[in-house]
Amino acid sequence: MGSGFSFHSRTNPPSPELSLGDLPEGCVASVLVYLDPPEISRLSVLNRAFRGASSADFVWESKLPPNYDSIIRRVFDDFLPSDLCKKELYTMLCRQNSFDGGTKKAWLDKSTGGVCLSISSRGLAITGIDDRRYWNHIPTEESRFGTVAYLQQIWWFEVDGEVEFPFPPGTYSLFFRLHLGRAFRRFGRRVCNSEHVHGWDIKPVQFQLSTSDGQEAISQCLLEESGKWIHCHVGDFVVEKFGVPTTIKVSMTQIDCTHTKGGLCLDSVVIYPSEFRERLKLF
Amino acid sequence: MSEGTMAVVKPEMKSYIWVQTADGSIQQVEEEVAMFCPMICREVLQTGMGSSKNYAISLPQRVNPATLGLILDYCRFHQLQGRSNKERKIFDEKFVRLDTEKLCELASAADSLQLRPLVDLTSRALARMIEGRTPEEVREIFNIPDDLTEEEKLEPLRNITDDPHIRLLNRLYARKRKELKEREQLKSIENEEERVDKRSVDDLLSFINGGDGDSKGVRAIKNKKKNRKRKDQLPRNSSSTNGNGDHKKNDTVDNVASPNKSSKFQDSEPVTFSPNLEFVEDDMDDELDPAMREEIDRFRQAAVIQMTDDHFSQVAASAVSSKALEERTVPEISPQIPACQKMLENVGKWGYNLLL
Repeated sequence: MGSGFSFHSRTNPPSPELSLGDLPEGCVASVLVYLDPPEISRLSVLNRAFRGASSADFVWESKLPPNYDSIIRRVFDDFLPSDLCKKELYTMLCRQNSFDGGTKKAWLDKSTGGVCLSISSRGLAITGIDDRRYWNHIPTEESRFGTVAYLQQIWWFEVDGEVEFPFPPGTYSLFFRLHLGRAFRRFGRRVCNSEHVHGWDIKPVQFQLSTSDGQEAISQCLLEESGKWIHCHVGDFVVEKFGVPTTIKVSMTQIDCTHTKGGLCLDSVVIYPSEFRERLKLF
Repeated sequence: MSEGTMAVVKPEMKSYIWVQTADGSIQQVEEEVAMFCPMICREVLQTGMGSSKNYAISLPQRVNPATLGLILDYCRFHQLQGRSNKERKIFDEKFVRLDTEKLCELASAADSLQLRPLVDLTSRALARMIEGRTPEEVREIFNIPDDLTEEEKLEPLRNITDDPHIRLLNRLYARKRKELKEREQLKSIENEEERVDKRSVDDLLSFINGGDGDSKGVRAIKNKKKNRKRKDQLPRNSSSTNGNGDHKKNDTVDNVASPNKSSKFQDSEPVTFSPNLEFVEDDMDDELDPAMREEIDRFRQAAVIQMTDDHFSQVAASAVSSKALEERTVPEISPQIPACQKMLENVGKWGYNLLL
């Protein structure tokens, strides 16, 4: 670009072609804002401008949930080092972070930044959990928490849970993660022991969900044995504004005392953003 | 000169702003269109430039005339208040149907003019082109050269979460960095090894003869291992003062040293060699001047070659020649072989200078 003439016409002097590789870091960062985090990390090896832009704070700030500082305060009691850049904050939040004494975990989905939460069986109030004739805690690697509560048999089946968490605005779905029959590994293969499974096909299980701002949902479900972990959908709730943490109360009951029921592994309650239902094929 | 600022615009008399692009061409632009760009707007308001041809506002370097034209089209459309959102959207979608180079130029120019809506629009279009592709594909499509050095690519990642995968990756990177460094060191070493010792045998002989007395000679005889090392180091530094232990070419020495532990060589004066002398490999070296050791080696080499002139077959000669010494293949000399017998006779003539 150096033709050096100056008159009123719009001329087109031959100029070197500008390509994506010549964009300054700031421009690249503007482009990266429109990509999802795994993509941004993948592109950081392209060239120096991309590498710098992929660590830019304003790119990652757009990926974090809007109330990420209250999430951090809720999840991490011992505060994080303050010199973390936004990318590192995002990385930390994407881990399955335990809080409330290890009974709950919260994490961000790494592609979308959606908040997910899980309450373990130890964080739920299970009727009869202390009585070893009914319930036992068994260790398993198939659970996020390492243990599940196994029901041998009981008349009054009731599980209650409660959590208070600063959810960012959006719609969330709540599930119970259950398994009929007890699974373990023998000779490297997964084997299911259904000796105690009974009573679930007589009457359905009732699910209930309520939030601190008055939303409620009820559902019921006949459990079937499939040898796999099932997510029983309880209901959805909507968070409209942030700044106020939402308290969720959930319960699962089957209290028809004319029959016993048993053989159930209760892993956890999980809350996902509603978009994930199709993604994870949860019903 | 502050005329170019917000003058009242009469319908028949539009006011214009003069802008100059990086290539020097000056043009005039409708004021309301140009003022849509924050950078131009600021220039006009703060400095009063742009009112006439001589005071044209210089646009940033990234704005070339073609791109300026595009930007002005954009501004001209959007600065009109009466357009509906739908209209704007349709215009935008059509506007960014450009090839990648033009899009990049547009994004870069809009960024320098601080025209945020256009930056977002073009960035979104570029992102749509990039997404879903692997880095290699992106590199091919957009022709992005890789300007990261090998070392930069192997920088350790910050592992705050103490993720075991990242830990392993960092370890792998550290190993690769080490290899890279070693390779570079080797390269610089190879460049040094070009030096060759050009001194003649006579020089060496005179040096040796004028050198120290018997004791040193005896000591020289003993430690073949170190002598080997000296010889090997000769190309590098003819009068070296470096230490001995850092060469790995020990195997010939061992082959040579072990069979009968007889002396290899000494200086021209006959030396009575007592078979009882042990080969102590390490402790003798320090007493012998390294330079001297080298000369002794050389001389021995030369002597062996001379020796072989008389009776040896070419094969045997080459076998004990310096080349063989270099390649560490030393033939065994057994008295049965006639050539060897001759050689042994010669040994008697020379005294103990037999290298095997």
